[in-house]
Amino acid sequence: MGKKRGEGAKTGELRMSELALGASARITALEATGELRRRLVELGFFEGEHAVKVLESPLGDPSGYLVCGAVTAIRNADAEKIIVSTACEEADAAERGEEGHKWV
Amino acid sequence: MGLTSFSAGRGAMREFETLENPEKLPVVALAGKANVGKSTVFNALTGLKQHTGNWSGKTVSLASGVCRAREGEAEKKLLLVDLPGCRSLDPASFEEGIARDFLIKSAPEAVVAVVNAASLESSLPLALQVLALTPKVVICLNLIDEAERSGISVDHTLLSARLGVPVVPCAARNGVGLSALTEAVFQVMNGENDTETAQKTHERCAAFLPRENAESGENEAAAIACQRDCSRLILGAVRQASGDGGESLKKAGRGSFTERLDRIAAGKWTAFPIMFLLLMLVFYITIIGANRPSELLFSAFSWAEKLLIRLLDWLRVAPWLRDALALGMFRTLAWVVAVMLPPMAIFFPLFTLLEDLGYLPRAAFCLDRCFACCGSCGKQALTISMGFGCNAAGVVGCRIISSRRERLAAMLTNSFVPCNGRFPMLITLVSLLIAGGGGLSPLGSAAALAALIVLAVGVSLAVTKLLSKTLFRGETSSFLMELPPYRPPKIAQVLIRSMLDRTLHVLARAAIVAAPAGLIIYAAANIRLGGGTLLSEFRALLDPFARLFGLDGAILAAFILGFPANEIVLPILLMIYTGGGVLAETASGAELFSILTANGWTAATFLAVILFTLFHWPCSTTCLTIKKEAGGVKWMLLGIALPTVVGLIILGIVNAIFSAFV
Repeated sequence: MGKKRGEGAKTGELRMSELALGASARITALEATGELRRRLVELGFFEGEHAVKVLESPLGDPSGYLVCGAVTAIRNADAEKIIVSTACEEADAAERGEEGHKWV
Repeated sequence: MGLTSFSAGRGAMREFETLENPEKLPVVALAGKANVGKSTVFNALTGLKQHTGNWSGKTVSLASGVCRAREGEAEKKLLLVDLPGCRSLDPASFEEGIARDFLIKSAPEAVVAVVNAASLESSLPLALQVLALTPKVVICLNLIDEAERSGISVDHTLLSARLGVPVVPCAARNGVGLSALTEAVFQVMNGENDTETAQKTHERCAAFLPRENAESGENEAAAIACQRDCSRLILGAVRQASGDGGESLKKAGRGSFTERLDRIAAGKWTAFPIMFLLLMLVFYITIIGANRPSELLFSAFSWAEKLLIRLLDWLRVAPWLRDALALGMFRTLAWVVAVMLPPMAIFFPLFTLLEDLGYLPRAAFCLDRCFACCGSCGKQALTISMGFGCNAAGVVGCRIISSRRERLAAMLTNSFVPCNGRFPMLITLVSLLIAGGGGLSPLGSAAALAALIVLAVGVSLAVTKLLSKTLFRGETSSFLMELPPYRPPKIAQVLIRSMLDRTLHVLARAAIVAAPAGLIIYAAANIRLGGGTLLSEFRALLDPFARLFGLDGAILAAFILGFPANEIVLPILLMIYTGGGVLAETASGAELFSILTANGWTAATFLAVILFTLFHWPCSTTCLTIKKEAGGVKWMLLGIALPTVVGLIILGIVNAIFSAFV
């Protein structure tokens, strides 16, 4: 289940905890289980959403991630379980601008 | 948890069990994610002084209040119920379960779903889930002032047309939009909105409601579908002023002000110095500001005491009873109020300002790693800082910690940090230790106090770590906390409301706790037994034990008698030393110094007493609060034993060191 660093580097995939400050990425997979998974999904951390690392604690842990319009502090041990990809950023930004789906 | 009489005083003791609705008013529930201003809306509509603060997870018990609003020409009343802030109605979570249960079982006439105009994406999903339960919903588009500041504009008419329910823009902090909101509530209750569309929305959203006993993955799919539908819903209805829709929308609500402040508040080199400076600043202002008012209060009480004596004499009350009431009970009351009220009336508003501003989650964010190492989480930093004001308030505040194990540890260690009641004693003793009868400057006092606090927090962390390795062993919970944008606090509003709340609370507590304590102390100091009084016998009894720890019988007796309120420990001590039967009125630094040194106090004794002031059993109010919050006498006993044992160990070590080298 774990993605090796080398593999990820080719496709632009990495763990959310490895994002640089200010970098944004698209969430591709969620390795968390149980209560943590439920709470992460509820906060907007699921496949397809965009996350931006906006804040880093001076002690290195936790970090603040902007997702679905709100910033959530998440510890590295938990952020590791979220797989993101920086590869398809531009394409997704365009898709969001379009009225791909309409309400009603 | 907010620092009001509701959350920290007797109000907190009342658990919400049944909805009191004697007038059978129509019930309207207020639902919304935490930190969208839901409680501000509630306060504005009901006038109830329930405190709100700028970070998630504040209201846990339900509050209700009567709202008077105009429906057309008539003035009608509604019963408003403030549901706990929650991001969804998932039965798996405690707070969300409460909100969900209320909406299903109590079936209110209408629900006001409060959302954040500056961050619709994160606050709207809950509104959709509420719509899944009932079509009679009004969406309160709150914080439009914040949205405007970030350059976000929301087309509420478009949203309303899409959903079929009223969407009312509000800025509850400023009182904007509230009458339109209540009008909309009446509209929805009478079915005057677009009920056809509302019904369609209600059916469409049914798929988003998490179910109890759902299949694995079903609720997750529902949550994801809900969020995705939200995005569709707001598409075209939300405009960002700075040009390109996609990129800037991602920063929705965050604003450059928040970003710039965060660079300092959470910056690598600036975060901790800022934190320490803020702490010192708060203490400094408290110390400076409290001095004069305390003196004035002492004079006022002194004058009132003389009046009371004349009154009792006029009523022909027996002298012994008159003295017990005036010199015992009333004077003790005077001490507690005069010592505690001024610092509290300053500290709590300052703390509340920081809370409203949104700084506290940043502090928790920065400190989380330290706490994680000790088996706890950053939120404990917040409960500790609440404990500075009042240990009992700090214990109640532990409700924000979701893991029970961590919550218990936080509750039990909360009294390791001194509360406002202990500040004056600490400052006095430290200044006597360092400067003899001369006294320290306010800056020096603030610095000394801050240093002691750091020590207390360090010990608190160590004990938390110990607890997490022994009694409260378990997995570390996941720390997920929202960091809301900074909001300019409404300074005047905060100061006034906080000061009033605190004043009432302190006066009430003093009356309830200090007055009877005063009677008991007076009795102990004046009832003769054998060669001396009850008190002097008690002192002699404790003396050998106390000497082992660098204290003496009088000190230990004073601490024990100071169980109801730490403010009276010092006056009781003076009373014992001077052999009097009543608490002294006041004592200057120099007088104090000479009395103490005359009774054998050395530098070692000062140090021991300072440490014991930090680490001894909690006051009676805190003990009762622990029992109530933790649910059991055994936790209360543990809460008493823990700081006492730690204190005695520390004192024992210090005493041993001094004995070895002196």
